Amino acid sequence: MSALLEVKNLRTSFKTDNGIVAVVDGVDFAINPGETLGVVGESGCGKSVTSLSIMRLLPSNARNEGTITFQGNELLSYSEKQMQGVRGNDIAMIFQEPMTSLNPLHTVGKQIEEAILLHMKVSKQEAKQRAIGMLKAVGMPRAEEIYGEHPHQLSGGMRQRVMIAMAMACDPKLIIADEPTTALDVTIQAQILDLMRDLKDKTGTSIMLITHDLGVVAEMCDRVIVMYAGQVVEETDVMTLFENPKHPYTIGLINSIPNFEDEKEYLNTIPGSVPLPYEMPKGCRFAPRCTHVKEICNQQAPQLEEIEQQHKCRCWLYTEEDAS
Amino acid sequence: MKSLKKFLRSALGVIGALIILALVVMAIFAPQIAPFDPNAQDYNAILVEPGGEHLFGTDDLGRDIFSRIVYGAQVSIKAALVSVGIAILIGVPIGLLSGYFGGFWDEWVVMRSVDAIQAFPFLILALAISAVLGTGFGNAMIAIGIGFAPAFIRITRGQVLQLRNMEYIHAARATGVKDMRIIFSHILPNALNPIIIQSTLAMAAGILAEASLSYLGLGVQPPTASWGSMLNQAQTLMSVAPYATFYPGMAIFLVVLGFNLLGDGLQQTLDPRIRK
Repeated sequence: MSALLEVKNLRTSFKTDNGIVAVVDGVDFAINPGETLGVVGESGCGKSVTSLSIMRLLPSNARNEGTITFQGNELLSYSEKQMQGVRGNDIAMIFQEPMTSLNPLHTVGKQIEEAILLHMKVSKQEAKQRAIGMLKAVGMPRAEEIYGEHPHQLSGGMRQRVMIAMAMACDPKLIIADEPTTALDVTIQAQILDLMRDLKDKTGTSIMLITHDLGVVAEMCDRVIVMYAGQVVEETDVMTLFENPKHPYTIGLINSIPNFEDEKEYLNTIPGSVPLPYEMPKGCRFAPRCTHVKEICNQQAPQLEEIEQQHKCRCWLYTEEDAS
Repeated sequence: MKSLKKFLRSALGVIGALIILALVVMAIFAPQIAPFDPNAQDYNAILVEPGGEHLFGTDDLGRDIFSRIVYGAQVSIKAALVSVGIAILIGVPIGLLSGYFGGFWDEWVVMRSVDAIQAFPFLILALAISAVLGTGFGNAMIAIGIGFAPAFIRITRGQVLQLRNMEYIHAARATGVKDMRIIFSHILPNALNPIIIQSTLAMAAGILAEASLSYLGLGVQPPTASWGSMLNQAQTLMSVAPYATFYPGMAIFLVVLGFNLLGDGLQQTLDPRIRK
């Protein structure tokens, strides 16, 4: 099966006052048609920048290297005009903050219609029908009325449904959802995740789900990549990730999930924080926070290697033999 | 509707609005309100004191001052609208594009030019531009409009810088909306409030600037009545007929006050930073 989206050796750097800083450094992954790929990592690890690189929506001081192949076409070589034809049409995005992701002055309907009119050859009337249809598809009651309402009249969960309707409006092949449920109440989160799963099953679109919530990953994803400090540190299917995590960082993440069964006074945490992009450690980027750190970790950066079938990991614990 | 109610609660803003309304009514119904032809010279009634048939008296050519002030309202309204209109037409698009695209043009060409223009005292700049363009009402308006444009560039650009990082603008870009459409359909409507407030304040300054230029002989040409040119002509009569300077001066004062009060009232209603 050929991949829908293939990212190879992506390096995204920004020109800043501290010199050129690579926020994403050598990221590889692929998304197959109909698949949900989870991208996990804590704040500042490059998840969002990776997604914005795919959409080519980074500010002008950013530079992309590597390849991003979508349906056989190289997106990094596309012109801005060509990209405008891809955005919202082939690849759509759902943002984190439903309260601010809708233009406060336009009606909900107009905002959904905008994408439809841009990318599909339909009349205004057909676009309106489709927009109302989308509102119904995302489970909005009174879709016809809500079509003419402004965002401030809707709750956070409803706005996120509108965002999903906007993203789905042109039947994209891939939806990039950047922390789509982080800002929502837990009960609404579950509804939104259910909705996304239903829509995915109906339309067969792929989803790239960016999150720091492993619960969301367990619920939604087929495959997961774990990112740390701008690199992929582990890639595997979702079952293996929870049953047999390999990278110490992944293990730390899973251990820090609150667990109601064994009552403890403290939650497990990973000490320290992600290193700043312009002061990366020389060897393994996780070494300063790792409990299994060895001599080689501080000297040489490990590579992302397949340690088991369909399970890649970037750690000296598993690849030591090759090095010595 | 909410904003309107809120505005009505700000007493000073309402007073300002009423003054402006009175000015507009006066300008529109000038032929009905004015008892005399504003340019008709009556040599039997030169320098008549206020009161009686000539409410505000007459000037040295026997023209009725009240009628001239009523007709002068037309010039003032035109001055306010045209000068600010020109400033908006120049300033808002430049501010939008410059703020949205940023980079070298924005920082080094547009903003430094704005700094340069704003470094001059406004009236001197307007004087210099009218001197180059020649006298007359139209040229005076262009000069004032150019003088006002930098304020609109700054205020619009500031709004754009703030708005372009809003998530809904990112969302619009992620939908494939083209830059121009994002600027004019998504950013501009959200940036309007401070532009409207700036407009009312600039209209006050526009009336004042027109009066100043006309006073200096660069604006409206005789015999057309403008409050500024009336002041100019009356100043030689200060010792014999002080009322001839008093009434046009008072008119300018009231209208400028009205626009300023209206602007403050709007600001309190529309500005989200003040809005509680």
